[in-house]
Amino acid sequence: MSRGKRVFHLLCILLPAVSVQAQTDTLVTEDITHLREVVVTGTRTPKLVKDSPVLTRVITAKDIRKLNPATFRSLLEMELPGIEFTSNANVPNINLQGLDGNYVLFLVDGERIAGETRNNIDYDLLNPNNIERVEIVKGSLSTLYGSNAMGGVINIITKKNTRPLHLGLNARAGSFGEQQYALNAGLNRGQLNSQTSALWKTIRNYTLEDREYLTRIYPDKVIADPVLRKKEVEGGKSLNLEQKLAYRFSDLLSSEVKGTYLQRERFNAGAEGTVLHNLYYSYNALLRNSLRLDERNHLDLSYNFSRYDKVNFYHRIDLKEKDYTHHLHNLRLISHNRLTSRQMLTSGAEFLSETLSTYMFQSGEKFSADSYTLYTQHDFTPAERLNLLTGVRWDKHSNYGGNLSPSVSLKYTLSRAVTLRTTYAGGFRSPSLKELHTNWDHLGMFQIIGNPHLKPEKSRTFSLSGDYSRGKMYVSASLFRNLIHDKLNLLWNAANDTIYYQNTGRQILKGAELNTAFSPLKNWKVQMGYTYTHDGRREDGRNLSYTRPHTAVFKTDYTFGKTGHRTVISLNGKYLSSTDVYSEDNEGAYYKIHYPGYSTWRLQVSRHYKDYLALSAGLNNIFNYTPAVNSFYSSGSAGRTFFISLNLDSGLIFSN
Amino acid sequence: MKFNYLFLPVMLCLTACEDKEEEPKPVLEVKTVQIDARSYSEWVYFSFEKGEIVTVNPNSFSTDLNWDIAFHRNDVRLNGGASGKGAGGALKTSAKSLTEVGTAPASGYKTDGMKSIMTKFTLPVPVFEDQPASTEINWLNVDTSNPPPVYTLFDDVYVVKTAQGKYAKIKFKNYLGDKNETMIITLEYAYQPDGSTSL
Repeated sequence: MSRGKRVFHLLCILLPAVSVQAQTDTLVTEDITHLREVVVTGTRTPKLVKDSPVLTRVITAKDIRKLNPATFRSLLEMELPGIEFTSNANVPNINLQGLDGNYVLFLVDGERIAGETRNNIDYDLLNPNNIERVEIVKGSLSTLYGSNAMGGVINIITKKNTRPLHLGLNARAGSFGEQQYALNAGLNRGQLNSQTSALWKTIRNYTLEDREYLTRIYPDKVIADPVLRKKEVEGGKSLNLEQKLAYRFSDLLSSEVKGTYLQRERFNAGAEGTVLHNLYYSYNALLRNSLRLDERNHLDLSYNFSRYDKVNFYHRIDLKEKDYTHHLHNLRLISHNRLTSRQMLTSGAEFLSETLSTYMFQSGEKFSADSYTLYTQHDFTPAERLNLLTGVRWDKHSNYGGNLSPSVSLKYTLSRAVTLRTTYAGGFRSPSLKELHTNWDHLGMFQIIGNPHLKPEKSRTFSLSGDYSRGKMYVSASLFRNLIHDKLNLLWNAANDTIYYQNTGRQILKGAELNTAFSPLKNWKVQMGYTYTHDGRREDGRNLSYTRPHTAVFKTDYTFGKTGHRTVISLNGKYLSSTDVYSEDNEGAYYKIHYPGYSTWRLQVSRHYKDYLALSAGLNNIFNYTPAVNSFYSSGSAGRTFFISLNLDSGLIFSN
Repeated sequence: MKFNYLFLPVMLCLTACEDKEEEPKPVLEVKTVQIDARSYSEWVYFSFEKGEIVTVNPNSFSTDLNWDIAFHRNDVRLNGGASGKGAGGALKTSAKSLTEVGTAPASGYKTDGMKSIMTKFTLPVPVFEDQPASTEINWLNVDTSNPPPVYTLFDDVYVVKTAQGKYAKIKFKNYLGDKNETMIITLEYAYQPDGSTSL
């Protein structure tokens, strides 16, 4: 191609003119059912989605590239129904079908991440540009992953370079001074494979102003706030770096090392921001060796270290003080043994150790907990159409002793199009070091006291699902019931000056989920998801749940243009139904706050030049929805915002 | 354009000269002070004349003329009315910065009355006590109806009268100390020691 022609093509990309013509490249021929994606989360062994006995939802790198999300959080919000992030004093708070951050286990490449704020991991550790795929398994997976995997596991698999040489650059700008710059570089030479990624981003604070007075509804009266509230949403800036090196010593032995670093500054809201910015640091190192003994047997040995620090930066006096550090060491040996052509055994031994020092402990105190674990899983195909997965796990925790978690899953292939699955699983959550040892004066209001005698929370999950796929049509439906008992609650003492943890809670969750994906036309794709959740969290006869019962997501995209010059228009919607949240006031009387249902829609137009340049522009929240009252469980939306992004990918140039 | 630039310094000089002739008023020094008002039980007393915190016997503050203004969390006391035998009082202006106030108004000063003051923060119900305090000055609203407390800082400028009847203008700049301690007050003020209303 001549230089002039190339310039002309570049210009075309920048022009919105679109030729309506079906085209035939990879973006269109992709498998929208995702049934042939390889996943590992459900069984700790690679399996196709359609073959996994555990229902697994996948978000692929292609999905992510097409969605072009600003953050990992917005990726999950757009892709998954039943997930909501609310803002608890400006800290993101996940709610996955009635369960918070304590019951959803986030893993990166199958490994735990240190650090939490109000039981949520630092989502900024996850760089959407460096994700190969996200695997989501709802329901308990404690047999394989241990504590916290009660409501689900979200496993983020980072990118692995497969090309000889590769360079990717992304730039993004948007409302509220949002800027992002990302780099991905890969090298593949002989036995060595390297993947480097970097992301720098920033966004400034903005203020949400209420249009109506916050109203508390009592059985006999209604009390409205005297003033309209304002809520400042915090911005920040962060730097995220990752280096992965893999080396294949021989056909038998391969090793991988990975280091990840995050540094984040929070632009604290209000008067606090004039004296204090919080800084967060995350350091992660992973070493993994894979030894293939023979065709049937192989061993994985891994060591994962993760550390998270919180630092108060008093910028008026240029003073930095660390007040939280969490360390996690995880050593794991897994043996994969194919017993017969129909039987596979996966067994593991693990050591997990964590140490925490935090401002919530008495000054200078530091606590640790260790657990030793053995587990085994038997994957058996007794008949052509039947797959039976049984597993059991035994943990010995330094505080509470032994704990057993069993699970059994069954998959039955009814026909080529229809697959049925059912799972029963016992889950658990070990009390955290915070829950065991906190001794903290809550802003001079009351004392929060930990309890070193806590037992683990336990759950029993039962789920049933069926999926249907034919050609370019996929439907899956599932039902679940999750009972959590011995749940940790915070109770007041008689003098009303101290709250302390006790294993007294009980929560029953029931729900349903429906997902579908289809292609009405070759270049037109539609995806929809719906969840219903019934959260039976009751106290004094009142439902204390803050889960919105109905949620739905909608995703569609249409591709125009001929090969090499494609335009993709995509529309994403999310709906969350209304809910009433009950709380107790200072006098012990119950009131409710009504949170209306809402939907937000996002429109994006992307112009692709072959596979190596994409220019996108989009509007978030096109119908400019803003809550009339910004309170705990409202959307936090600032109304309509815009973004533009540019993605460059050298892939094609170098491979030519 | 060149022409205009040449004339700019000349014009600046002219306006500057004009100012000099018109107003020889000396500008009062604006001082900034940090006061630790975190205690629920104790008040912290301050003298504008001395420019510092003064020690006052909590049992005889109302007969002591050595202090002008006192602080307790977001409560303020002036040496007059129910709080003392001095000439103290306060007036909320419409100004939002100290420079907007050049002269103390002749009248309209409100002397202290009785106010319900939180002397211990306990839950569910904090302990309140009626104490003498300014009902004119409301620089920070603390909403404890739902945890965590919500603080709203108001940016009003107040003119206050000292125990001796002299004038000062004050503005509360922050309720957080350099290390984010709640109720370490940053106060900006200018005090007129000659007894005139010129501020």
